[in-house]
Amino acid sequence: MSVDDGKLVSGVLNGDRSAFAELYDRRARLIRAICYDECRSHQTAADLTQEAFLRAYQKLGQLRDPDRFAAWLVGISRQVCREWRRSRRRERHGLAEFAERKRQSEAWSEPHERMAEVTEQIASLTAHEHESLPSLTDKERLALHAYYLQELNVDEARSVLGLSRSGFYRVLSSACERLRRALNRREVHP
Amino acid sequence: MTCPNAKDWDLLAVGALEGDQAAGLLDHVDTCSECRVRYEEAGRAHRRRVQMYEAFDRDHDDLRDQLMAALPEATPVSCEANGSARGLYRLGDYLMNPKTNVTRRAATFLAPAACILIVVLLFVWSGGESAFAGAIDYLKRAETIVCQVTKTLNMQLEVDPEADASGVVPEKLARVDESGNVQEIRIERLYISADKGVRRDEYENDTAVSTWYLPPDGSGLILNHRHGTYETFDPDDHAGMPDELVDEVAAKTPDIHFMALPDDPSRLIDGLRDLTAGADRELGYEVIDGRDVLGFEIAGEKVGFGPPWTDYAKENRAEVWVDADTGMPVRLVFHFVKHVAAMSGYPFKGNVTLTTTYDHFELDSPLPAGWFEPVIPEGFAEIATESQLDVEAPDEAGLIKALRKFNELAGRYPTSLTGANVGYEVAMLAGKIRAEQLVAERTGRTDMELHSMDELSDIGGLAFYMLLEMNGQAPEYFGDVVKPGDAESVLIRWRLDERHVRVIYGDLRAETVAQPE
Repeated sequence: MSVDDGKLVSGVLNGDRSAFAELYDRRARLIRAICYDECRSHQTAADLTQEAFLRAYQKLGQLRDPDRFAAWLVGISRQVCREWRRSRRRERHGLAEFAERKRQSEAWSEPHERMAEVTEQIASLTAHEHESLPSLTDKERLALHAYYLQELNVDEARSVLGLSRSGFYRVLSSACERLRRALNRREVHP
Repeated sequence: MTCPNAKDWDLLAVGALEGDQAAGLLDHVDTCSECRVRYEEAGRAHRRRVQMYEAFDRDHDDLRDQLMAALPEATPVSCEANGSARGLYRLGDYLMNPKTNVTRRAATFLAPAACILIVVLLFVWSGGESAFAGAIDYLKRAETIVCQVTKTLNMQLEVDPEADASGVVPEKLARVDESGNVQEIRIERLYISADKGVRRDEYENDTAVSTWYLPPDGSGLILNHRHGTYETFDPDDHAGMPDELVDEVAAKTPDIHFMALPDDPSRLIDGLRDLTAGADRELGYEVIDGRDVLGFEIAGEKVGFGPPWTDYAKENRAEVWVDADTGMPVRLVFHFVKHVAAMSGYPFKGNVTLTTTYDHFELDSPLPAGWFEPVIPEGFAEIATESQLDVEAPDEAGLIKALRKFNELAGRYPTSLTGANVGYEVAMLAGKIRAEQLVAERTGRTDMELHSMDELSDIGGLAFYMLLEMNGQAPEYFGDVVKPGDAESVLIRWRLDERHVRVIYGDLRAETVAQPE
């Protein structure tokens, strides 16, 4: 990436809207993936991503360290997701009940419910990989998203997580390992 | 060559490794058929992921155009960045509390206790699987978590009769019995809400000591009921901390860290899952609060009670008790033991044990929004938060300066330079300085704000040692045995390259020494 995020943020604050478009091009895919983890719908994830970027634009002047734009944006997107989850919960009523929550959670993870969309969106070859993502911790999932959606660039990805290079390697390799185990389990118990 | 492990093949396959590291692995592939299979499998998984992630590119250009059209006309207004503060380096930010600096004042008041607590922030969990890892997965979507935190501090201390503290310290800093033993018990009620933020109520002997509020966005607020004061804090403010340390602290800080006020219940659950997955042994079944629970024991090093952040002690350990049926957390216990070295002019030395227990968990209890909205009681005075501890960036000169200053204040060098120990000893120094102030003023004040961390600013250079560790320069420190002024003994040494070692002696003279062939 030729210009760093910090310069683009400064550009936006100086009235250059195209700089914000550039920030969007860089980070929107990552934010969509994070939102998708939450909602499991590409359409909803796209909507939540738009909301996250809109808030980021409005709050950009409050960003203390422009070079940490990506990590800051991830924080905003998580907040947007939390609000979405809360509003959805209000709509469904009664999900506060623990047993109900468990049942819902299990239902949510039923492969056939998700497969329809997954197969629509992704080649069938990748479906199992995608279904295994929930088995990762949040940090591992974010590491994977950040790496694959930011040009397979370790420095770009680690800046999102605020990790050292070695720390990022640990999380990334742990994510790969956990995915492999999850996939192996699926193969043994399809 | 020993076969690399699977993680190396993963990193190579995804293109994260470069240079000699990658070349060495590729050479091995040519000679080892088993590893070639592993590498090829990792490569296939990588290609599947690349395909999978293409889904997030769909309609990107259209979505960008829609967003740009929806942006407000007005350019966002910049809040003036505090550039000068960013270049500074605040000791308290990572020594007292890596995530927030809000414990600093408490640490000054109850120095040993508060500083020990920072190790609770530094849990390092290993990965792995357990029966409960899956069982508690479904709890990840909890909207709220409430729990009780009980901190019991036992200090078996000798009181140094030669210390000129005139009896002030025991009375003002902690309650000490006739034998010099201290026991502090503090109870906290912790409320975490995904959308409302965090609230923490702290009690001592059923009396409210403080209330912390941290909203999902923006600054937090602490009410100090004991002294009728309040102050704001920014939990994301790492200004002035070297990037390397920010990264390292982030890497060492787990998804669960109560002291840092976790802002999302799912992080707590993730942390619990990792704890149980990384357990060393099962403790068997017990009944706690009428529930059948299964316990896990986690060794001290795995929960952060080990190098490089703390000194290892085999007594340090954690227990996690989860409901045998649901996997819900029932009780977490952390034991931390610390030997306190004598410090000139300060009357305490001995052993300190801190036990922190988290229990009475409630998940998804409805929490009124009003609980998370701070109300500053009438008459409470605001404490300015500008008394940050700004210190120089850590380098060799800063390290020497820090050791010199530490010796001036303590009459010795720090016993070790791990992050937690430095934090502990700095807190001890803060307590000592405060005690001296109290003695000097002879006012008998109990005002927690009477402190002088500024005197400790030079000590921040001690963090250079941690940077050396992070950079893989294998530093070694012998401050527990080397006396100040000892020109013959090596106090610290670290590797510069394969043939040279940098050495600082007990008299703080430094030189580069060639390694023998």
